[in-house]
Amino acid sequence: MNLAQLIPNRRNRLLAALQPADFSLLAPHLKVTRFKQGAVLQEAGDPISQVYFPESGMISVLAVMQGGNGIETATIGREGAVGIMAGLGSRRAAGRAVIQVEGESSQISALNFRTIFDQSPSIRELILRYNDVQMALVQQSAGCNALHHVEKRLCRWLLQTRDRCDNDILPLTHELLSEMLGVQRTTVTVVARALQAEGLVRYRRGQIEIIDRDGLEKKTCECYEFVRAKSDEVFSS
Amino acid sequence: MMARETASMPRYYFHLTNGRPFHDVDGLELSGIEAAREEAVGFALDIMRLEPECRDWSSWSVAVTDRDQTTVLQIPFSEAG
Repeated sequence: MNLAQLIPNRRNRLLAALQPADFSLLAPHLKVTRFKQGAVLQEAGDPISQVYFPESGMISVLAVMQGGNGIETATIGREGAVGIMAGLGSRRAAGRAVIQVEGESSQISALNFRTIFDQSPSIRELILRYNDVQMALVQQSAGCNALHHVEKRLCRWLLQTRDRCDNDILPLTHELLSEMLGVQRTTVTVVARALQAEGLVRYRRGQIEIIDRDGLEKKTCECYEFVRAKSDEVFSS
Repeated sequence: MMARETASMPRYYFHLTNGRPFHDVDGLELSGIEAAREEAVGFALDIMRLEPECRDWSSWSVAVTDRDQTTVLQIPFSEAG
């Protein structure tokens, strides 16, 4: 049976990949919430109270330093989840999760999720596979942040965001981009203007429009393709 | 950190005055001159980190102007590191 037909609004790929019996364990506890850009779902070090499965929009997980400056370590859209390690007994969040592009998430309390995780071997297997892939993606992200030029990283970020929003117009402020890329807001302006001069994007305050998607793909680092291919591994068993 | 932008906050513009000239037409609303100094220093550090092949930054600086295009700060790269 195709679960996507049973629950037409469940666009989250992890939820959609569950067998009907597994999904029926979760369904009574799931609640759909809409989140606005900038909303913080969890703070690094805090107890994990909820597990979020994005149905639309995009969430960033950030490593935050003591001085308050941070950098993105993971981007999560409808192919993933935030707080899912709660199923394995993880009590505290490893990073800060912030809504980058507003959208809906199905959420379940960490306590309920833990109970269901223990009941279903197939949910366990899916979550472990997802976790494996996440670890690989965070590794790649650490390398990318340290080794690749901010211009390539911005290209990757725009492409990843576009893939999740299905829209060429991305509502991105200086503030958000500077937090994602770990650079000053003025540096974001310089880089965005350079991409605009090459005809790849059109840039306005608070918004970036992708003009030449293929051009961005040529310009970005290998990490964009790596992340795309790796993310699919969760669903190809 | 989330800075709150309000109509009453001053706007500052950050220009690169040498090497690769950059004229900032967007500017940023910041709480005051100290926040502008922090942004200018961070900006200089970013540029030095992003262009490692350039070894001599002695002629580079960040000029900060206000809404009236008056220069309120001049931060040489040599003072940012």
